Amino acid sequence: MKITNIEIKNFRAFPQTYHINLHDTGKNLLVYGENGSGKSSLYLALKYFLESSVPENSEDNRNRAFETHQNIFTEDPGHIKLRFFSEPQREKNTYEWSRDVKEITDELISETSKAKGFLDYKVLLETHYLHRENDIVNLFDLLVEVLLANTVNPRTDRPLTADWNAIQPPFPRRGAKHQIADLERQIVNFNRELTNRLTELSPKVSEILNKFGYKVALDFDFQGVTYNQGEKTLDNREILLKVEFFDTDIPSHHRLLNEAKLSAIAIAIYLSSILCLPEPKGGMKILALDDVLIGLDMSNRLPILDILDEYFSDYQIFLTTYDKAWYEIVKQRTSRGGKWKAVEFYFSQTDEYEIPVYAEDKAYLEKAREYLDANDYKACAIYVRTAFEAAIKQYCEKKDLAIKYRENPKDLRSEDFWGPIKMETDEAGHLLLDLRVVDKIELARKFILNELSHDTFVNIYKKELEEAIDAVEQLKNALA
Amino acid sequence: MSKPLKGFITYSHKNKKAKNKLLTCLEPMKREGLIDPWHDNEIIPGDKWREEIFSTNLPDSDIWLYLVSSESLASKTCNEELALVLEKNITPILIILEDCDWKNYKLSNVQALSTESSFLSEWESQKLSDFQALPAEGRPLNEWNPRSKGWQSVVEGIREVIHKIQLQTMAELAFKQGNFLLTLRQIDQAIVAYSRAIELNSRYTDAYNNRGIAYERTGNYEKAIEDYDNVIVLVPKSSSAYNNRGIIYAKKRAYDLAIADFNKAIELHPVYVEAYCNRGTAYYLQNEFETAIENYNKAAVLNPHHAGIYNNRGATYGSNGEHTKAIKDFTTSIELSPRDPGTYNNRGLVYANKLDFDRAIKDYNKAIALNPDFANAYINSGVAYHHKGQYGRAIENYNKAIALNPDDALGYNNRGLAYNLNGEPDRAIDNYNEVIKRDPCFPEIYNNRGAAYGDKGEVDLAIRDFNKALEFDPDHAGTYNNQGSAHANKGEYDEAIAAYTKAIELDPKTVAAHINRGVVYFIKGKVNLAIEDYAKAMELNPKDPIAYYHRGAALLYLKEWEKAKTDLITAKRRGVDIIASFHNSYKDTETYEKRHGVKLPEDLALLLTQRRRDRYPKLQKVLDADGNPLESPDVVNLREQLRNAGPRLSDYINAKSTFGINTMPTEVFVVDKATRDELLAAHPASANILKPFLYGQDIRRWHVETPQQWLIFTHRGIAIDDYPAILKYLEKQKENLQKRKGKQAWYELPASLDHEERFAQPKLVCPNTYNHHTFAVDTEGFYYGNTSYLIPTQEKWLCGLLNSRTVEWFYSQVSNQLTIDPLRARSGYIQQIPIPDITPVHKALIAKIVDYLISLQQQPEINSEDLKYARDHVMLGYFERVIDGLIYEAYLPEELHKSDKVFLQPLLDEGLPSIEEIQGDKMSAFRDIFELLYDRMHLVRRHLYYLDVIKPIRVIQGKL
Repeated sequence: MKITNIEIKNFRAFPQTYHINLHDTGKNLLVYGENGSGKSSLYLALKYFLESSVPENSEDNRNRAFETHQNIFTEDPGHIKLRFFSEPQREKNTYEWSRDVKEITDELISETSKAKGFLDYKVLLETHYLHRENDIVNLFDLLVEVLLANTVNPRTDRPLTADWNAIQPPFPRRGAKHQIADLERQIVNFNRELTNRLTELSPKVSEILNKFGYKVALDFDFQGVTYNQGEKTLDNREILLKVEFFDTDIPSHHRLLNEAKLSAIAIAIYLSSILCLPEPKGGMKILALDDVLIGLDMSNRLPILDILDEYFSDYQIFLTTYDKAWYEIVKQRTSRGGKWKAVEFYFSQTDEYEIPVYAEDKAYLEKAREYLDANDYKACAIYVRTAFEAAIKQYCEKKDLAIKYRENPKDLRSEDFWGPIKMETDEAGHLLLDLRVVDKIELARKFILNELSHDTFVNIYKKELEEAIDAVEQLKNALA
Repeated sequence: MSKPLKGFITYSHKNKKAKNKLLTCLEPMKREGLIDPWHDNEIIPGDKWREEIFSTNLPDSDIWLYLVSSESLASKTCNEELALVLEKNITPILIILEDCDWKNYKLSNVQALSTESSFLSEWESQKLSDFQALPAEGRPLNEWNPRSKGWQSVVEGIREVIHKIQLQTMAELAFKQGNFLLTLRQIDQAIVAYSRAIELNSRYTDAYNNRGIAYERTGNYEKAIEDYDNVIVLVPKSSSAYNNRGIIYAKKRAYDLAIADFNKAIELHPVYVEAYCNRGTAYYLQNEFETAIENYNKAAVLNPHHAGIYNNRGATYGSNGEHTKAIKDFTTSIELSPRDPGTYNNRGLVYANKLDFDRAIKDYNKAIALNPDFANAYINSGVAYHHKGQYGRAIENYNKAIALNPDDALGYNNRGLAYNLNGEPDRAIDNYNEVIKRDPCFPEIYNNRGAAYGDKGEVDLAIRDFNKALEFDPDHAGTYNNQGSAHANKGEYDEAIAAYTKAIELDPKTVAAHINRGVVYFIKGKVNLAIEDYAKAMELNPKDPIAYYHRGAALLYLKEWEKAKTDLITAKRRGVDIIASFHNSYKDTETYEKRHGVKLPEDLALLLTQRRRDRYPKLQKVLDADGNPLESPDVVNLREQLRNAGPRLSDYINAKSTFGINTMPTEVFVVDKATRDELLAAHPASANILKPFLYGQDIRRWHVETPQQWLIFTHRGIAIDDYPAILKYLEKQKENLQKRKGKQAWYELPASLDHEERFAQPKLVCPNTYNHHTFAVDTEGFYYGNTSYLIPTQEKWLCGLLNSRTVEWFYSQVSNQLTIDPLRARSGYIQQIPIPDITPVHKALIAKIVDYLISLQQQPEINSEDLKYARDHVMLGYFERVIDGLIYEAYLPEELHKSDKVFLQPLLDEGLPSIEEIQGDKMSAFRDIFELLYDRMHLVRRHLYYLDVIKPIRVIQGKL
């Protein structure tokens, strides 16, 4: 069974009807899209569509109602329609999720939902919050509350989070022997389940990490959560990474677990958990990765294609990214074999200046630096660009500079503001901006500060981003 | 040219010649139109002459020309005329004819002649010599040589006086013009007029005074003060000048100087009402309300009909929080002066402070009717509507205020607040930005904008604004409270708590910060701290129902059901939609229970549950308001389907299930190993009636441990004498035992010998209360107390059936119990359990796995908490699930087959060994079987994992 057609109407970022044809073979889909262009809406459309068939499994009950996702710019009720083609029966079936069809009651779709793997970049942002000390990383929260949260405990038939939530406060009062014993029994069972899960996962995780290019054997050190009766706390919430290095050439181990590698580890754990799911009986397998590779260096991204080939060849895969460079690479790599289809989502023209440029530009540069440090170059670039636009727009507004007239103010482009500013002089008739700053900005505009064009192959490098941030900072100071 | 001045000549008839000379001398001036002389010659002789002089001619005169000689000083008529001149303030000119004692002539001499003595008192100490005397230096005419020179000097003197009077008249004219312009509010032109008057007469105090008023109106306080200074220099005793200057100082907020001036004015003029009033206002403006009121009281005593006094005193009372007195004063003021919009506005403010917004709005409307441009009244009216929650009306009023006064930041600020509360944070922010444009230091503006950003969900912008607000006002509790909420929204609970704590430190009476901090504590699991905060909030405002709701919700966590219920009901009674509040946080009570691992009592669950038709509480036969059962058809259908799956348990086993026996007092009848050993040692035959014994609580799932306690089974009709050791043991408790009710002898149990057989046979046992179905197989013939339930059967597969999820669900349904409390074994319901009609092979397979579980329960690995045996526990649970699968298939064969999720065949295909067939290490054999069945590709595993796509299975698993 494969998805052959996707139709999204008035759902979240999709204001009209959007149709994607994946053909009868049910191709994999590669999506490039700017932030806000709808790529994440596509990801969520698939996710919520599937979860509407197993309502109790959807991670957030609010997602059960289509209305909450209705595109806000239109009254016209929307829907998501997916057409499936099942090979053995040569049958095509279309399913709909909408305001009127609240729940898809097809067992195959339910099964598909239970077998699916959906990972988005927000999950990986969690790796930034991990507490690290000399390479000792505590993955407990990331695993229990995020990566393994929805995996089902075969013993209780409920997600791990449910088991976890069952042992959360309020704890029984001191002296309530029976209740404390009950709590402790549940904690022991939770520990057993988690231990077992980790044991199942760890060989697979190491295997996948090796494919990513990290020559390590990875294991988890989990001693079990304990209940501290005196303090009424859950102690030992620790799953420590045990890393064994095969490649002794790595000179300093403490550099191993940077965010990029933690991202890779998190992805490996998630993919492993999907690979450990029981094989579906009649449903299909879907893997959707929304921007999850952004935290990785390019050299570590490429292996994902091999991993997908090797482990997920029988999955229908949806891969989205806002990194144009990465998109082009994947597009090229997957162009042979006809298994993939590539689509690009863009802002509509009118959306171009929707960014609230007046909302304190200083924050934009700070954000840009944060993303730079997190190796999320694309996000960094967006923020530098926004900071640049905010700076020049604000200056023009303040000085009431003559700006090229456009019928629709939203059509104004950064050039319209930047042009006059470049020519701006002070009272003495000197140019306001140091030519070196102008040059730096011009250079940065070529790569970063302008919209990425649609068909050229553009790479963003860290150095350039650093320079762009610098340039915008200098520009801001000059215009202040 | 102005009219000629009227000159009245007074003379003694002895000096008639001199009078004629004077007339001759005045003749040129008369022709020039400067003077029109008059003298008594022109009176027609008769008794009317006197009237002519005193009623008409003299009072109408501008100048009085008095020819002074010893005769005229002595003349009665002359003196009478002098008196009238003094009275009528006519300019006197003395023309000294001869040496006489005029210089020492006291004006008090004429007093007796006066009609109005009070005026003359002013002149008491003055002498005639204080008047202007001609010729020059008062040198008598008869001393001039030639005398014509003397007369010339007289003429020149008179010319000068006339000129002066003419200037004075022009000055007066200018002054009057100034007054006129002032009333027309043409203030700049008025100032020009007054200035001309002062130019014409540099000692013109009234002109100075009024110019001061005009300057005051233009806001030019310095110039005004200068003018009053001039008045005070010219007339040092001018109380009004001091009063007026005091007003200016007060307006300049130089209250000390102002009060000094009012003091001076009052000192000079002790009944000066306005000065008291003004001094009161000066104190009022310095917030010295009591002193202010003393002054107003004094003023009111002096003039009880002065509306302004009451208005001012009302304002003072109002500021002092004495609303009733304030309203009384304003009302008095309005009665005295019903058309003053300010007083209505003031009274409105006091009503608003009393939270009587309807009256307030009425007053504001009156004020606006009297002065349609009264921007502040619009603003106040807006505030009142705002407090009433009518944000639309509030905004309308602010719109008008802003239209009238577009530069006033206040209107924008208030409109922003109203928009924000009206759910339009974007418009609110626009308005706040307008405020900042006009006044970047406007109080609380960043706090307000931050709150709007917070409402918009732009938490970072909100926090930034709050930080900025705290730069301006580091002690603003409200800002800390808002900041806390922003942090809380971001999930930064520690920061939130810190901010709320700061807010509470700064304002220990803040209800909001207490409640908010409570909520965050609650989220953080610090429930007791949360409850403390809520309690504090209630203490601060016992009427605030929100705190009750939150405390109720917190008490739910603590399972303090009764207290929680009291609080929640209190909140509900006071208008909190507790169901909506609860559902803000939780989808339903079940979500709550799942998330927090508690079970809500039925009544509380109902209290917090929306009574809607499409919700299906587990409770049976509960009807909604329309009398329809609140049950899903899926549930009803499944229950019926299961009920019809086969014969009832009681029919199936065809034997009577019972509870165990009453062993009270157990401390007598149930003995430990040591006692048993003693009894056996004393008399070995005691063994016949010492039975291994179990309480209900000793029963575990699948398997019962060999008991370590024994029951003295003295059934009814026992030959007790055969057991002397036992009898001896029981006799120690004879007294106690005799107190029991029933037919049994004192040493007997309330049980017949039949029990021996009943306990001896193979049976399934379960405790009478349990969380999950806990049936165990007992083939050992153990004895049980009445906290156990016994089902006589040797079909082990029934144990699998009774422990299955399907039966547990069915039992909870039919036994009409909520799953909140532990289930109770109720014979009637247990006996109703339908037994599906399945093949012996099916039963045998279930029994086989029941055997695995019985064996597993006895393995040390299973009884260890060491995590290295974690997988063995997963195995135990997995085998239970496998039995579940087989039972689903037994009850719901069609559904499972349709979905191709069957268990029997794949398990049969594996040819699992029976427990007897397993040789050697059972544990490793079990592990092999487990790994085989648990493989992700194995059909059993796949079917189990995806089983809940089948709807009835979801119902049973509680996922619907």
